[in-house]
Amino acid sequence: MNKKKVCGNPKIWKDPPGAAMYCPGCQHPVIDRIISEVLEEMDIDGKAICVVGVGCHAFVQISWNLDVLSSAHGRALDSGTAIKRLNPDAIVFTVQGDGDCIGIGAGAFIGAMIRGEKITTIMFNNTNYGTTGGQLAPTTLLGQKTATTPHGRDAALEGYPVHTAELAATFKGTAYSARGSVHTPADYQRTKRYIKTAFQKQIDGVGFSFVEVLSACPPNWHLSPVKCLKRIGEDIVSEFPLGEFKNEDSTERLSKSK
Amino acid sequence: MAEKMFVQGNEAVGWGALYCGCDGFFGYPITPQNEVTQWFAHEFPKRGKVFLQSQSEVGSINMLFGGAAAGFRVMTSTSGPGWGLMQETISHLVAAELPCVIVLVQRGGPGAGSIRHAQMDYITATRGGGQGGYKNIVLAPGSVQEVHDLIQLGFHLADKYRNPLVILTDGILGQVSESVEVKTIDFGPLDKKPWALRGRERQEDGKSRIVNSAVGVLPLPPYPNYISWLKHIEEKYREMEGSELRYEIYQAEGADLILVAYGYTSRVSKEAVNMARAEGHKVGMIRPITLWPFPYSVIREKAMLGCKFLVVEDSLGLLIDDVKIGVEGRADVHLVGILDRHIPTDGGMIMPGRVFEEIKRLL
Amino acid sequence: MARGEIVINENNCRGCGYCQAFCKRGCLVMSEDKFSPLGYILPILADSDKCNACGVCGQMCPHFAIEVCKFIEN
Repeated sequence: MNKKKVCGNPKIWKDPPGAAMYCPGCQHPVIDRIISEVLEEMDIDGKAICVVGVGCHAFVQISWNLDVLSSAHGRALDSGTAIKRLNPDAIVFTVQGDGDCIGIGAGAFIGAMIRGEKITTIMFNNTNYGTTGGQLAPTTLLGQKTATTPHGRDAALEGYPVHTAELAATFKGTAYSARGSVHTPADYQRTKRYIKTAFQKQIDGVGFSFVEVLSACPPNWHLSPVKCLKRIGEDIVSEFPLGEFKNEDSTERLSKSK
Repeated sequence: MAEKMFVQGNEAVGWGALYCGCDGFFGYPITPQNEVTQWFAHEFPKRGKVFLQSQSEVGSINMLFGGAAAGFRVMTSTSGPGWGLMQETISHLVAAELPCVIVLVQRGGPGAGSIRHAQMDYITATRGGGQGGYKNIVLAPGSVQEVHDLIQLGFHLADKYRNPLVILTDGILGQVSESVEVKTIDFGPLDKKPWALRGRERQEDGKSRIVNSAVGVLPLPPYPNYISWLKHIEEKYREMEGSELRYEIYQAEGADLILVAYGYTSRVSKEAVNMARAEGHKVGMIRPITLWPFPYSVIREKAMLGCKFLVVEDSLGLLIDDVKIGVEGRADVHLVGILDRHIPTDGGMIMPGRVFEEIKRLL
Repeated sequence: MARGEIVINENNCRGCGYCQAFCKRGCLVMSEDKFSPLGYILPILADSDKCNACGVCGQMCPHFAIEVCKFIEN
């Protein structure tokens, strides 16, 4: 009776990986696992250049065996743009948090989509700035308590949660935009499919591809890990519906898309 | 094969960059450097090189961060307000040890100031305008030919020290046209940049790499911790300071009064020196070509010989501080500055006649 | 008879409880008194015979603490 490994460290995980810096139940590494599996299955990890932003999502840089650039906060898509323009054969993808991508990085994000950069962006949405202790983010839900909205996010003061995947779909330069989550094994598989499709858009040279992934953040949500999953399934998904918002497969269709 | 041209200082930036293998230019519109971005927009794409107009100067400097990390020769050009927006990432470029060239075509400040020439960014160019206090070589051309030459030297020194480098010109030098001999200046073989990001499979040793500027948070080999890395950076600064100093001395033998100036005001000062010498006054000039490292020692030598100093700079007085450091109190240091322009508007400039008057007053 | 084997890396485990939550067959249960070297409560194999090597526990584990192998008759 011999045995075959079904699940363990991704092939591209360093051995040993850098010190894991993730809080109990943080789901960022689960998304990192999906990205690793997609890169391996599409056989593009060898020519991939990852640009991480600043935030909890960035700690993956010391764990996986990829060429990684750690960019200035909010500027991963600017740096990624130059890499892709100068080295178009490389598979360039950015890993960013919600604050990094649509908070401080909104200018770079919109610039990249206006230009239709052939880059893939994975945005981890945990509805707060995690690394710095759980402050308000553009994606914080109304009424959600954070370090900077102690009484809960109030629309009159802090406005409304931003729908990044839907926003991305409005740009002609965007070829693909979707939102997934990893709060159930089924959602894990759906999100993996979204991310695979996103990378395929880059390989086919169609345009910008974007996947937003909801991610549990127990310490800053002040919930146990398992209760975070419940919260995602109920409150967060109702604010941030899962699915694909744009899926075009040629630049001609992009120029005609509304 | 050299080619003779009659071009603006801003265009000479492009020819210089082209002839030393620049791979990509990332810029944003801002007066008075628009001719630079427009040159690249016209000349680079047709040569298979990258030109990109970003959404802001924060965008262009971070595109440099990416392009440099991927091992390419990349550059940008900007002016006043755009230069202000770039400060954070110039600090990241130093920390991540990434070579690139930033051309700063100075305009009037502070704030939106004026869209015409001035020399008011001296401090932020030579003292590290961003976070954490860092150094970068600053080259100050005094002619359109020197703009072309120093761009090529700039790329060489940026690669040599893996550090961003600033070319400091001004609106006048940028807009004036002069004849230029355009050629490739040979600085030896290009650095292969084994540290650059290419994709794991495309690295010669097949190993993945990380480029990161958060060196205290995630120390990268070979520096086990923040301070050991900072020590390495300090050594780099000493090397740059020790071996990259450049300046021009003009008729300073036996001079009683030394003018100190760079950029367009150095041309004005040279004219004033000629006028003074024609009337038998013993006047000379020191023109720093590197504003960092700064020629303190040669200024100190002249001060010890009893020379007086007259700084000619189109600002309220920034370069003057470095001259005072060099003089170390041994001599008086006077200023002909922006308030001495020939007309009191953004279009006014410091004229040779005004400098000559000051020379006579001081002698 | 178990068709899979679950191995828990106690140094990586952070006691988050996802493996228990996601295992459809109750093979893994958070212990009451077993702690990891870092002081996190560890899951224990309550009923490893029921494991069908689906690998979901390892897939959903954020801390790469679970390795799952499938037994293959040769």
